Amino acid sequence: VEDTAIQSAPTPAAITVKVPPPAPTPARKEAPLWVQILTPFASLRITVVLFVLSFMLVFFGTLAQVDAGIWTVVAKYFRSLYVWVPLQIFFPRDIHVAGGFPFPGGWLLGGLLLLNLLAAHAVRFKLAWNRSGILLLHAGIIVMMLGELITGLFAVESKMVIANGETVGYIDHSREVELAIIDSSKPGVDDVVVVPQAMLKKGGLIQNANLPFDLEISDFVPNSSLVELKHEQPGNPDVFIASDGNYYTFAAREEGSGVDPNQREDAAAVRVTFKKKGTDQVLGSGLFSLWTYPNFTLRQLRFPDQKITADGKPYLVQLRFKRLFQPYSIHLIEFRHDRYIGTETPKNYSSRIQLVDPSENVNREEMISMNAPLRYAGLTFYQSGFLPNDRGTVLQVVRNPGWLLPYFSCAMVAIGMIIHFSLNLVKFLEKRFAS
Amino acid sequence: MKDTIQKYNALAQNFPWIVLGVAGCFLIWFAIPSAASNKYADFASLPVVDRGRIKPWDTFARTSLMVISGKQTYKDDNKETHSAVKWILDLVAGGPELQNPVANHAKVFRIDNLQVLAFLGLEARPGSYRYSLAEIMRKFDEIIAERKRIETVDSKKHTLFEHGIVELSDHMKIYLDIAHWRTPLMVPPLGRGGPNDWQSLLYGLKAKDKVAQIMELMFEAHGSGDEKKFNTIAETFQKALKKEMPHEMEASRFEVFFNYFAPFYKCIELYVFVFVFAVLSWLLGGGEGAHILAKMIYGVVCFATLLSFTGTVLGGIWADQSWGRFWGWDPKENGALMIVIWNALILHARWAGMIKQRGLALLAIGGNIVTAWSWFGVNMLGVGLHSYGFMSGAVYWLVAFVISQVVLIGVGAFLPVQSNPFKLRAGWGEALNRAAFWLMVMTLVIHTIALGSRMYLQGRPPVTNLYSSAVFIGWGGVILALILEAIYKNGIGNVVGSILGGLTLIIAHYLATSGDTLEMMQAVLDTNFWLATHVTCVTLGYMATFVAGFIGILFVVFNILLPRLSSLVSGKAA
Repeated sequence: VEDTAIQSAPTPAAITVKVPPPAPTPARKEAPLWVQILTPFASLRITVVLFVLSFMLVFFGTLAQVDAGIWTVVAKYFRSLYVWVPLQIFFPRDIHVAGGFPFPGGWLLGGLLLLNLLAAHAVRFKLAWNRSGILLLHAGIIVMMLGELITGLFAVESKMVIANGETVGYIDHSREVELAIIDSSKPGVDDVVVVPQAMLKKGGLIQNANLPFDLEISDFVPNSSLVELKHEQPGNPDVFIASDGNYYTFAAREEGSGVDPNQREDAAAVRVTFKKKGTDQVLGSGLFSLWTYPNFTLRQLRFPDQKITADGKPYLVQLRFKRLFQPYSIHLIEFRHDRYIGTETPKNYSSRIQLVDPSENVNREEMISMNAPLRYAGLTFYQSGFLPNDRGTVLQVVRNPGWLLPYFSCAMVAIGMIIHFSLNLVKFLEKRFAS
Repeated sequence: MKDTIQKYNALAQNFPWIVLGVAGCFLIWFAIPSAASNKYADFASLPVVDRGRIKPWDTFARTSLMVISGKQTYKDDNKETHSAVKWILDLVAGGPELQNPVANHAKVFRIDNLQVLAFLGLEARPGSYRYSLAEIMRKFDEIIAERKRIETVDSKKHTLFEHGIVELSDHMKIYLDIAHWRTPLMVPPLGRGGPNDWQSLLYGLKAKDKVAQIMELMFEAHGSGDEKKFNTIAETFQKALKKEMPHEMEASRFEVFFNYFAPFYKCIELYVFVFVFAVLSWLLGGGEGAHILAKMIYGVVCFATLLSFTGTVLGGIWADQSWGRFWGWDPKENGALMIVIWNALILHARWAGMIKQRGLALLAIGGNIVTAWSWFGVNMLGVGLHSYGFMSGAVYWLVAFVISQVVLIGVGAFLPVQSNPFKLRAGWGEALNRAAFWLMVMTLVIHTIALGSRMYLQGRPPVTNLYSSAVFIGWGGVILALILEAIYKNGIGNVVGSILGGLTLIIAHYLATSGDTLEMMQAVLDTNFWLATHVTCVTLGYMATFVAGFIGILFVVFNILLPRLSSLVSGKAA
């Protein structure tokens, strides 16, 4: 009532009365110690500097993918504390440039951004309606960064390859291989000893009580290509005859690069010499490659088994993806592959499977198709590909304990941004129409 | 005197409506099919199957000719222009034995690689660089031998010459596959098989299919010049197919009209006029002060941050649904992330007080570089950093664009900010600006209809490939520009919208040279809610970043370059 009285007052001087009463001067209190410590970390200027550095890191990490595989780059640039950036990535590859410079890696920049963000909110935290959007969206970004952290630390990507009508109870680790020595002499049971990738990479002599012989490892390469030979090369142990009747060998090649549009799987290879236990007597030697492994999805040809005999017993030796055995098994009932009319371009894939888990009393039919994965036992099974000539299905199997976080984050950030920008838009329009 | 002024003002007042009227007449005039296009009308809309899609002969002919010749029409030796349909009819009528002399001597192969021309023993023809099959066939065996040799070399290490030979032999394959009746699948499933059982003419004739035999008669009629018989058979096919597959025929006829009217091309022309009107209005007094421009940039950057962030995250969700990986750090994803970081950087730098009006404008121009990189540069990475990629056209343009933006940023950073020397005036300046605004509204309507037509023909969301992303970015940019113009009425929206709309459509026009723009997508990219919203959102984010960048350029022009220029001019005059 008083307000209206003032407004209807005749003298213009009355309007100046509307100035709000002077706020009581806040008693300058010493800020608590934790605020004093955090304040320098909470600076917006630090945020901007970190943004600039992140921007550059992402750019470098993209350029680096011209030469290196995507996972090599991710490990070096984005999931690391610091990275050595070679100058070569900025130049065409036919001009050779030496040298490089150190740069903060993804873990470090992400960690600093997180610290900066948390400090800023701790120091300047004010619960007010017009700040709610900002708070929510930054909380969402924290959730997203945690999601990427959890993914980086714990997610495992693997594959399950099932030929038509087969039942499979293990998954193949996508980025790790192992050398398996298999003794199939007992009926119904295989005795398997595996040499993990780390030992293959290191090379040298491997002696172990479980192994029927000693292994001398050399020349481990992360990727190899299948080379067709024009002629038979008698006496060359590295030449194999494949199911198409031609001669092949394996040659080391660079990793598939991240920007290659036909990015394919890498086929590791290794040379192994077998020696009689504790002696220098050579039992045999061979070149082993994923190209001969039946679950390698690029493999079009079959190769004869590679066997080594020790003490009169034959052992099958195979380089294969690291196997992770599961308590359940999956039987492929039917694989479907629809194509666009008149072409080989795939339109849709789907796999009808039988999921059997005796420990959980599960025995049911499931359908896995593109964009409709199966989630079971903390794993997610995606339709990812198929064996040549539609002989079977390839499922991408992912364990990611953080898979839900991006969804929460997305919702939080989107809602936060919408609240914040709508508040600003309303303010802007009010001002605009008022004037 | 007063009368003339009044008349003058009345003209200025009604000028926008006069412009709209003229533009409307222009559009209607071009929508009416010409006599030349009616000549093979019945044949042109007959459907064929190619690259997984049912499309009219017209589209197949245009896209095939586009790939090998770079144009949708060709000129004969008398400089007379002919349609792609006429070309393909001659070609198919010649048959596997290449018996049609008109087709064999039509200069449709574009070869501009001088080394390849020397290899073929042909002279350079600057201006057209087009050659006929007859000219190329003299060296047929040599080309094939060379191609076989090149295939043993790593494609990343190809020389310019080897690249040219690969391209030429690819084009010859497209040409000969049509001549040999292998593509397209032109024999429809009339009276046999399921609806997807289309066959090539070669297969149909071998299988003694009746429909294929009638089709061969039709082409024979054209080859022997019996146009009456040809048209009668084509009409019979029309009637039979309309009964069998009415929906496909409807779509096919619509697509022929769409091809003929070329609405996106019309939009380019109209956007040019919008631009001309808007700039003319500025010359009669206009432009904008630094304060308002900075405010506009800030608003648009907020918008861009929201869209690009949401779009990027939606992409992650799609990736998670498809193969269980929310974020893969692949080059395309990184490109989108860089735009998000860049926009966030601009906003935080402003909130921190590190940049003022000028800094905001310059960083927004930087956003143009980042967006161009994410949108195009990333695609070139695979080949771009290897030797010949540096000389190919697209890389050249990208580098030129980046340099121009860097120059603008440099100029903007070193010269002082001054007040804009122009003042907005009423009268003709205002009339031209209004004309530009309404013409842009009209163009947007055509642009929208054209986008809708594409969605109808393809049955998919608007963005399916690089081509459609260009068309869509332009469309969104024009809408945002119209909103800005409606609020500020200072011509900025008109200029930014017309540049963005026109430029993206020109880019799309050049992207279309690689073939059918309505091509089918790979399975993973098919029908997914998250994917559709992701692509739409992220392209709108690119668009908003571009809009902010263009306003940033105007900031440099109006408040840094023009004041400098005018003070130089007046300084000289004094």
